Amino acid sequence: MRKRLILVVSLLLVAAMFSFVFAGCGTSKPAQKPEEAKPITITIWHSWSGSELDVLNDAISKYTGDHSNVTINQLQVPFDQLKNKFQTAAAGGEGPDILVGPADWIGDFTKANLIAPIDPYVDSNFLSNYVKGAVDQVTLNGKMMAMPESTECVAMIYNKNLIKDVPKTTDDMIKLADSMHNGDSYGLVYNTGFYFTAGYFFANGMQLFDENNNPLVNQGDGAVKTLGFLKKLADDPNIIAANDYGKADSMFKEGKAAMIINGPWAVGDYVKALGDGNVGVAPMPTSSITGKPFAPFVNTKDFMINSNSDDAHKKEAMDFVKFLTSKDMEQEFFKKAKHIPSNTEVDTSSDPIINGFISQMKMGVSMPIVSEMGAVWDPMQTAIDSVLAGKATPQDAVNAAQDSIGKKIQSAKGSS
Amino acid sequence: MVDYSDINLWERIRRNKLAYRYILPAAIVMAIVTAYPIFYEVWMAFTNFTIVNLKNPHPAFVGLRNFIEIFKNNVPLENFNFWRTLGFNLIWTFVNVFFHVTIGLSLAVALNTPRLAMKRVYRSLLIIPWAVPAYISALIWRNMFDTQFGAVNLLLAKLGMPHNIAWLTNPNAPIKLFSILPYAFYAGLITNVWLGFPFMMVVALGALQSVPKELYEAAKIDGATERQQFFTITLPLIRFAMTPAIMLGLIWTFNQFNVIYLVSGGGPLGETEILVTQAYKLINPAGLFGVASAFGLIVFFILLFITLATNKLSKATESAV
Repeated sequence: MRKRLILVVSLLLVAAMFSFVFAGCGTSKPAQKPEEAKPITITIWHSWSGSELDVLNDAISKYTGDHSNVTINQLQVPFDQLKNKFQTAAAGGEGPDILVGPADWIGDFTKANLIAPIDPYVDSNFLSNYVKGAVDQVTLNGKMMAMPESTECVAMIYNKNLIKDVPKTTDDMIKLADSMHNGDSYGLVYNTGFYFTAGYFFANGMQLFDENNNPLVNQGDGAVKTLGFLKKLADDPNIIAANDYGKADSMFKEGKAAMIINGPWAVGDYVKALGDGNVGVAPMPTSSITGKPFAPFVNTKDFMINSNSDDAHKKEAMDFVKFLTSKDMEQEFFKKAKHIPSNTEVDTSSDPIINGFISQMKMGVSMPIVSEMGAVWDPMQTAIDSVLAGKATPQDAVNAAQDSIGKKIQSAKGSS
Repeated sequence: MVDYSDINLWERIRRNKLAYRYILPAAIVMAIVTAYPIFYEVWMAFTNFTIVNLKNPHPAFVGLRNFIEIFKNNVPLENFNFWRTLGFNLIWTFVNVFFHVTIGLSLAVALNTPRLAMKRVYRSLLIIPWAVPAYISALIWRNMFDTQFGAVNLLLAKLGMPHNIAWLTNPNAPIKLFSILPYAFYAGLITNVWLGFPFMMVVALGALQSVPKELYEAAKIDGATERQQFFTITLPLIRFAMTPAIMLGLIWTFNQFNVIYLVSGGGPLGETEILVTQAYKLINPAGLFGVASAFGLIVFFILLFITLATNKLSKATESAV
């Protein structure tokens, strides 16, 4: 009797463990074909925080209020982890139905077949309400791979209590910053991430790719000049120039940094921290080396649909995406989080912050979305870091970056 | 214990059927969650597995290429240098464990003083670093090493010492003799010593309490100094408790991902990368699953070698007593 009991108990345990082990495997597909009123759960991964997240949560409760059969789970993932997390999950047949990410991820994801084209869900009539440049950017090989939510680029964000006249050239900016440093307060906190500094690389004449997407970063002296300029910023004791987003962000919110470089996604929180009317946005100063304007990457923040989701989930996910990019919701994102809307029906007139970004955007460079772009970030960052640390001359650093980008593109080709 | 040495394996299993039934569920789960991934990793190490193969797991077999590329530092990842990382990892491990043991042991001996006032208070205070989750301590230390606003530099300024030290970003070595150890190494070292000494202290304290008091009395009568007592009585008697703790400490520190990843992130320019953080970066951001698997196997064999060597070493010293 007892033996039998033991057997039963151990079998139950095994069964329980098996169900636990396999619970995580495979996409959980609904047992039956879902109909209109069948409950359905949509998952969305994003890296929104602060005001952006508030708007998303509002949108979710509004949408699920109207669609009682839909549950929407949102998961916030730190931006620097998001791409990899999605890649790993989606490649394993899982992942969220919707991913919110910048357009330059599209190339890699399309190549690995992780995201699905959204053409079946949108028509030209619907798209006519969206900024053409934004729609063009998310179109790869003739297929629309994502739905643009907003357009972004970096620009100078300044504290109006501390800065009266925005510097026009980089020399003026350095002079102003030198005169403002006082104890814990700094005139300029400059993020040296490649995304934030790219505008000066392009202003000074660097190019990323030739027409066949071979790297060109060591052609001409644009990159060398820019690295020299960044080194000058880093060596100036009155300026903080570091690849540290969190530090610049919190210093600006505390009023300890008068000028920083950041994108529209951050402005909503800055307005909240410093008060309405105290945050200004202007184009970054013109490069004093070449006299050319700062030309930042212009890219869209997009909704992408996981290729693993079944048709019902894709359809429902796109319905939610259309809701998020509708005039009303984009108006909310614009009002509260200062996202620059992709929907042309949103009223953005008379907002000085948005106007600051828009005038910066006019000088920008559209970010390439081909998969080769993924090979650029780390080598360029290493070039910047090694020059700022005094470990390499600008010329050596640029040559190393060129080599490394080429190697990465080669290795990505070899494996596919 | 029954002596089973004269009967065959099957007979031994048959006689202990019930015991095997008990462990069967655990054995099945272990086979699925542990053994299978390990064999899968070994297979991946010999292929060019990358992100695209996660959906379509038919990578090409490449033989030993992954291993050769690692040894030749020919991996498409920034600042990858296997030999520098290995050397740094060994230095990191031994320097850390040295401080853990010396600080832990000294504090244990001090706390073991008979009739010490407020002994419990001291003991609980000294265990706090161990009780706080390691990643929280590591993040706090990271902020304390900030160049402009960190507590460490502010304190140095108060003391009138050089204080604009870029602890985590200056790639140069503060001590010229140890040229491969940048400031970030010392930042990581301070953090990890803070995290690691309580464990050694607790182990040593337990061992000290089992040393008979009579031995010290006898030694005192024979005129032995405190120093002689420590080296001839205390140290030999607690060694048996300390050796396994030190071996554990070596392996933990060798694989101390939290501190390196959270304090210096392997930077500046990969100079404080240890093998496990490098393996992580081979997956994220590089996405080189095949190379990372090969790398993991290499780390496994290095650890195996270190464990066997320390085992042998401790056995050798055991028989010498």
